[in-house]
Amino acid sequence: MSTASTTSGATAEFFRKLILAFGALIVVATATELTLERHWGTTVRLIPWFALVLVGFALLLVAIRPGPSALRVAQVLAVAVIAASAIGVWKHIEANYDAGPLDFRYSASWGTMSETTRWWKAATKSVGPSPILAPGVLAQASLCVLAATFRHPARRARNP
Amino acid sequence: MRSIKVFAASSLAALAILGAAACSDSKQDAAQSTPSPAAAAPTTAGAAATIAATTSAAGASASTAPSTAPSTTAIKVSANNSTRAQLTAAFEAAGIPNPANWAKEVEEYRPYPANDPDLTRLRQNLVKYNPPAGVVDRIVATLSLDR
Repeated sequence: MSTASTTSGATAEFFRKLILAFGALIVVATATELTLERHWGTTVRLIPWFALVLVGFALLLVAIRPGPSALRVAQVLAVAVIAASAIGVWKHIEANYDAGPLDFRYSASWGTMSETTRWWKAATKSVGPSPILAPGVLAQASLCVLAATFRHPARRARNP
Repeated sequence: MRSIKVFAASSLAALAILGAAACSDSKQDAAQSTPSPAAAAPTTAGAAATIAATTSAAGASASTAPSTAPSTTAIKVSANNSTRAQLTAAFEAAGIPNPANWAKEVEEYRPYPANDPDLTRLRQNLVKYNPPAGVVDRIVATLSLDR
């Protein structure tokens, strides 16, 4: 093996670990934020907690047991969490939509607004308390998993 | 490796179940927040019948309640244990607009600690919705922590 490819491999490994560390940081920060927000009490509010467990597990798989099957499992989990993240964004928009009539600025006019206007206001957080893109942080952690598994040497060992 | 796959599969299944439950919650919420007048009446009356009237509740919020305070007798319901129907009935009796929506929000932010009789955390959460003046005070005045 040439010196250049060894250096390149070491660099790739360094960035792989860095990406995994970013993913782990996102998981810890998100868990802290969810705790501070008391994000529980109903079924739908538990989804991000499960998603965090899944993405945390995926990160551990890539970091500790990066075999071909483990990497595949991690990728599947990451894709599932990205789907959960999309559901989260939708649920936040929906919660803002439901909050429309409660807002004193719109309580009188909400019923007469067009559906498009109402959904636009909900999706742009002009109404309602839910942060629209906050669930996207789960997708961000999942992308870290997918990035860390990209061209992973453990897969190349099996499929050169 | 097999145990990892089993764990991953069961976790995915749990997530899928949560997602499905969340969808059914949404449908249920939609159904409860837009009841037909005919269907809502008996539920409201039934819930109201189970709620004990507490006249002291009106006095508790008299200083902060707006002039549009309801003329009906104020009733108090448990912030932690009342059903959504009971909350809705109590809010409706107190003249609070959109009672079903507010009942849903009160339910969502449970539980409320017993050492916070003014329901500070609930107030903080409800204020995020930009409610009309006095509504949060009237909601809190309708709730108690002792039942």
